[in-house]
Amino acid sequence: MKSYLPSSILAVTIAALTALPSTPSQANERRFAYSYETTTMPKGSLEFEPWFTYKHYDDKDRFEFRYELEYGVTDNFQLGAYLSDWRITDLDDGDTEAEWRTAGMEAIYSLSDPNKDWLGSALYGEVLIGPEKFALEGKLLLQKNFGPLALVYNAIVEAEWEGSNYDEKVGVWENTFGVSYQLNPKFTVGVEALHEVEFADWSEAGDHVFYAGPNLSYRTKGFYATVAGLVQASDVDGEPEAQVRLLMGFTF
Amino acid sequence: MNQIAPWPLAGAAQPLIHGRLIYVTKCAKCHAPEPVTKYSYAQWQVIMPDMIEETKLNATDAAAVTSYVQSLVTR
Repeated sequence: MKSYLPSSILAVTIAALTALPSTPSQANERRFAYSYETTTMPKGSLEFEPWFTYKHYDDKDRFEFRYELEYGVTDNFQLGAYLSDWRITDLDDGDTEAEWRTAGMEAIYSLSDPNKDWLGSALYGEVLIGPEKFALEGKLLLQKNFGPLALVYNAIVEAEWEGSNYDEKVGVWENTFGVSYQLNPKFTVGVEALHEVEFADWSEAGDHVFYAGPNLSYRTKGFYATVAGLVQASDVDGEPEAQVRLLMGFTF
Repeated sequence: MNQIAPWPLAGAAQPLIHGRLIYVTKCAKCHAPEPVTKYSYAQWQVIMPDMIEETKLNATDAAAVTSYVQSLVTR
C-alpha cells in the first residue's frame, strides 16, 4: 500500500486558521468532521456550510464538494439542505472526471443535552437524490461532555440505490467515534475514528474498513472551521487509503 | 459541571436557576462551558452581548443568564 499523507493540505489549513483574527465569540460549531454532535443550532440561526473532502485511493485521487444550508427551527430541531454534492476524480492514467452527484435534505432532533443530562442524544435523518443515486440515511447520535472534553458516537445505517435505473442496492453500516478537548473557547483538538461496512444487495457484507486520525477546530464570531485527517487502519482495496475533510461554517 | 457553573444558593430567585440552565445548555451549543469565575465582571460585560447575539437568546433568557453570571463574579 502506497503511503500518502496530505500534509501540505493540513499545513495550509492550520496556517490559515491560526492567521484568523481573534474575537471573543463563536459561531455554532462542529468539533468533528466525521461525527455529528447532539446539540442543534439555536432557534432562528442560519448557517452556510461548505464541505471539502480529499480522498486518496491506490489508483486515483478524489475531491468531493458539498454545500449545505442549515437552519435552527427550534432550539432542539434543525433542518439542512444539501444544495449540491459533486466530485472531481483524478485517475492515474491522466483522465479527470467531474460529476454532480446529489442534492438533499437532513433533519436533526436533539433528545437530550450532553452537558445537562446523563447522556446527550439526537436523531438524524437524511435523504439524497441525484441522477444515479438515491439514498436514505439514519443516525443515532450520542455525546457526553465532561467540561472541556467531548465524547461522541454515531451509529449510521444507510440504504442506497445507485445506477442509471437505481437498480444497484447497497446498504451501509457505519460507526464513528470522536474525542475532542477544548484548549480554549477558540480551539479544540481531538481524534476521530470511522468504521464502515457495505452490504451489496443489502445482504452480502463486504470488508470492514477502519480509519483514524486527528482533528482540529477553530471558531470565532460567525465562523468556524474544522479539519480532520484519517488514515485507513485496515487494508481494504478499493477504499481510500487516506482522507482529509475540511468543514467551514458561516453563521447569519 | 458544578465547578464550572455553580448552582445558585438554596432559596435563590428562579431567574438565577433558569440562568444557570441557559448557561450550561444554550451557551454550550457553540463551545464547552467555561468556568464562570474564569472571567472578571468587566470581561463578562464584553463577552455577554456577543454570546447573547450568537445564541439568539430572547430577552428573558438573556436577562436570566446575565443575572446568573453577575451573581458569581465580583465587580
